Amino acid sequence: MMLIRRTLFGAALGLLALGAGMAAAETAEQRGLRLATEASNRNGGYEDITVSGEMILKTSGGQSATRRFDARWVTTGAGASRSMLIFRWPGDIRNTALLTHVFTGKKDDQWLYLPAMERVRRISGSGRSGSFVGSEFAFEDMADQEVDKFKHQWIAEQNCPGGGRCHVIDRFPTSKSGYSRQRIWLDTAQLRLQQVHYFDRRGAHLKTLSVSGYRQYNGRFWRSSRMDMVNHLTGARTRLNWKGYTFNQGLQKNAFTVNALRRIR
Amino acid sequence: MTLSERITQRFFRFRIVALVLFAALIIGLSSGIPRLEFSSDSRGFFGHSNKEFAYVLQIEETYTISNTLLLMVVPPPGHAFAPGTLKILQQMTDDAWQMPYALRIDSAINHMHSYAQGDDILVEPMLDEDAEITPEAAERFRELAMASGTLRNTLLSENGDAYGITIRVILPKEEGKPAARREVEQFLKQLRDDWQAAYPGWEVRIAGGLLGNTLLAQVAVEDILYLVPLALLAVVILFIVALGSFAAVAASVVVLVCATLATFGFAGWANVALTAGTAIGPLAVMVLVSTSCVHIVLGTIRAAEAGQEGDPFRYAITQNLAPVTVSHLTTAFGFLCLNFAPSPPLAQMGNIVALGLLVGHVSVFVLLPNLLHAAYPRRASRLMVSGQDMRRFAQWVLGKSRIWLMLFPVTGGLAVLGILRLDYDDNVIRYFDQRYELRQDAEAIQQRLTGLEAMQFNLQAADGQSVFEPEFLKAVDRFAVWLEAQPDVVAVSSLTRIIKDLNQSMNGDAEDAFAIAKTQPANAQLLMFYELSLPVGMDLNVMMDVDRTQTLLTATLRSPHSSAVRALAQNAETWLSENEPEIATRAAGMGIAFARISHRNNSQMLFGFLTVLGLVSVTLVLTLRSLRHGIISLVPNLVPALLAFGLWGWTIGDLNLGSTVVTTMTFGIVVDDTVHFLMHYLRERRRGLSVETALEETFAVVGSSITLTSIALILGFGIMSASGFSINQHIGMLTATVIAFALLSDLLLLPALLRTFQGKSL
Repeated sequence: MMLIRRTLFGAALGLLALGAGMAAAETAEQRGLRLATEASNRNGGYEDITVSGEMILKTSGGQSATRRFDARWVTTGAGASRSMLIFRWPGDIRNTALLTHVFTGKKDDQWLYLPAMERVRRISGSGRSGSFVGSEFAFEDMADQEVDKFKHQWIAEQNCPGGGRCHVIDRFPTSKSGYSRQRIWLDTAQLRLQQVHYFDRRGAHLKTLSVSGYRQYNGRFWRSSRMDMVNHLTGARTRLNWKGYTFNQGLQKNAFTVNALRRIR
Repeated sequence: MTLSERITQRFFRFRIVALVLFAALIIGLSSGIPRLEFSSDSRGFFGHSNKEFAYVLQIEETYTISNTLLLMVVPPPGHAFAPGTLKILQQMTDDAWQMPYALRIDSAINHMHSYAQGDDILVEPMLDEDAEITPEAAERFRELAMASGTLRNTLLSENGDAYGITIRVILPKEEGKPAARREVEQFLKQLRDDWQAAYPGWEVRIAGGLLGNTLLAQVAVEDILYLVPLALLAVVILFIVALGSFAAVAASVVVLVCATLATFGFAGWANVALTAGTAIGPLAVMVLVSTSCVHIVLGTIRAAEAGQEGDPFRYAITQNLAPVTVSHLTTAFGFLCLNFAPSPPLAQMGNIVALGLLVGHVSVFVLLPNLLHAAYPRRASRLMVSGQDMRRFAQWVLGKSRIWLMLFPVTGGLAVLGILRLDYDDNVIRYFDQRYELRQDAEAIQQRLTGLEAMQFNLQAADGQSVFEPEFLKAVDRFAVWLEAQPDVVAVSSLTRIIKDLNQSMNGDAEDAFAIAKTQPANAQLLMFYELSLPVGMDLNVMMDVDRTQTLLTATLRSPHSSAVRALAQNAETWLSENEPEIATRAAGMGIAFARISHRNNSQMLFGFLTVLGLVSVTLVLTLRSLRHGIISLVPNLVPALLAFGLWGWTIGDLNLGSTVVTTMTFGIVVDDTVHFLMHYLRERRRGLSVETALEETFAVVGSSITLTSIALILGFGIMSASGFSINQHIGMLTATVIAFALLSDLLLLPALLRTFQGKSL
């Protein structure tokens, strides 16, 4: 259902862009939006995802630590989703679970279940832009980004950092974010995210994300197996390994509620 | 023909060759001047062997360590919580985010606080960033802020009339650092200017350990630009007054300028980055070399006056070759022994000055003869005391021998009492005196808002266990609570405080839930909840390692003196080992590292002092060819430092890193006068004169020159004490005092000693 709506939306945009292209040259904004939308249509449009993540944190001093979690997403509507992250490691946060409801045109809701105290508490404020469990990722860096939460601008076509040709697009968040701008590299072949530069609120290049190890699932969805985030200010870095992607196995959205949180194991 | 005569003869025979070689040497060395660099890193004061500093570096490897800059903004009186004021504070917080390399900006506005609301825990900034500041919101803010345990005395003053804004920056490592620091400082300056223009009636003050760094280089440059020429001017005036000969003064100035330029050039070639504390080295060379010029010029004048046969100048050179060489040698020994100082700038200064002296020595004997050969001064200035006056003075001194022999032990005893009152105060900001805005701002901030010293304790859970283990956290909490109650401690930032706050919020703000949770997972999960609520730039890596096996506890101190820092560190270390031995650790941080730097330096300098004492004594015994007189000479050489430090103890009281090298450094200098005095005295005695007559002759010949040279040294080092940097101030002022006492000891005490312990043989 959602899939159809998105595809239609994308197609409509595509047609629009095509029409515009015939009438006049496409502007940088239009081109950026068109490509971002197309990327979202190609690799989004799933019903649900299940995956395991492993984060390896490294400080500039060389210390390292590991965090592991299982994650599930379910699409609930256009630009709306629910997700559940269940921590598996370290042992003392095992089964601590983070539930996020993403809405369109409304602030997200987030709750954390603390199994040691058997309590669920809402997380207030800007939980999505701060450091995620001490890593260099913010929560917003890990999830698929909704096209309509940004204004886009196509910059250039360049070589990708890992080889091949890429579209370079700047995207500016339209809602609350820890960043003033993100510059993304999408490969021209499959429109997969290859690299992101994150710029902080005063416009300085703060972090770089390199995405690699792409595999295609269900004959359709391209997903990476490795994301490397480097913080240029602190020198700290985090590697995020994704394993065991499963798509559209029919997860129910009522498995993503506060009540469901308490039943986590 | 004596050795001195032969050497002098050679000098004169080969003086053209010597001159050419010398010119090449000076040009070669001076060409290093463009290579001169100025260090702007206060960390340069620590050597690699410094334990406290090594510990700081180790902690920096483990945690995200940033540099904190603190801005104090004081709104117009009586309006601290007005909506308009808060709006401005919000704007200022926003402006501060534009700081280059900023990791995080904190102010009372965006300070996070947590509270329970029904089933929810809200971790929120004190003021909603997006909402309008209504009078109600401002009133709520006032209540929250004044009740907050974590805000007062850090980001809000005790009585709520001044705010703090902290900017945490992480500068690039190594080569990019100085440029980055300049960027940061430029930004701060601009920020202050902008705010003062936009918000009249507000007071803006800036502090931060980072800021002292650039000022170090600036002060070094200022000292070179102002103090070095000033010292030259003072010496020139003294020479004009005392020597009264244009030729002599001009020749001496050429010698001094050559030696000084060569010293700067050497520093350039040796890649010594000058900093406040070393930049003054060439000044010392100039002043020290000037004394040798005095000896030779005065010798010439005296020879001319006495109607000496032949060239009086040549006679003066012959007479002074040995004493001037020995005194340069002993002075160089003293400076070379600064290499015992673990603090690199002090060791570097020792080497710079020692080499400068070597060049100075050469230039005195190569340049001066050539410049003065034709036009030597024939008579002394009328202002100079005559030999006859000095003889009468000698008689007066000898007549009062008993008084001197009594007076010095008594003043020595008083001096020991004064020395017991000495204490060390080392702090980068307080190294700069009140003329610098940095220092004024720091004091205003300490007075009104918060402390500026941070002391850290790196606490490790036993055997790689988790920091969330309740027993460990309880121990840390007991320590944090103890620490909070200590005098001078204004705030303690600890993991345990966060856990206790959250645990309380998690349990509906119940009083008895303000405690560490009972299990490790519960504590870990509480912290995780907190961590997920944090905004951009804030994370727990500043107080926990990523492995969660150690935690950093930070105390903020309001301390006007480093003795308080040392006392707290000592008390905390003792308290930990007695009460919580499982988590016992040492106090860490730049504050305590500086507070202890003088002690460390001093204990090392003791070896330096013993070395110079041994070297100089052996030199003296060999030169004087008399063990007895070598031993006697120790008294007037040791007494001056004793008296100077005693006087310092009774008057000023605080020493610092600079003072730790003064005894060693001055020992080689004060010996000079004793050398001149004793060599002349023994020469007269060996000619068969009695003790009294020999002393009178010695006074007549060297009395005025050692007085004059001592005045030159007192002037020169006195000018050094006009530096705005207290290491230089202390070195300058203490050295000048030591030399003044040395002059008194040589003129009053030494004759009495020589007469009392004359012995049978020489």
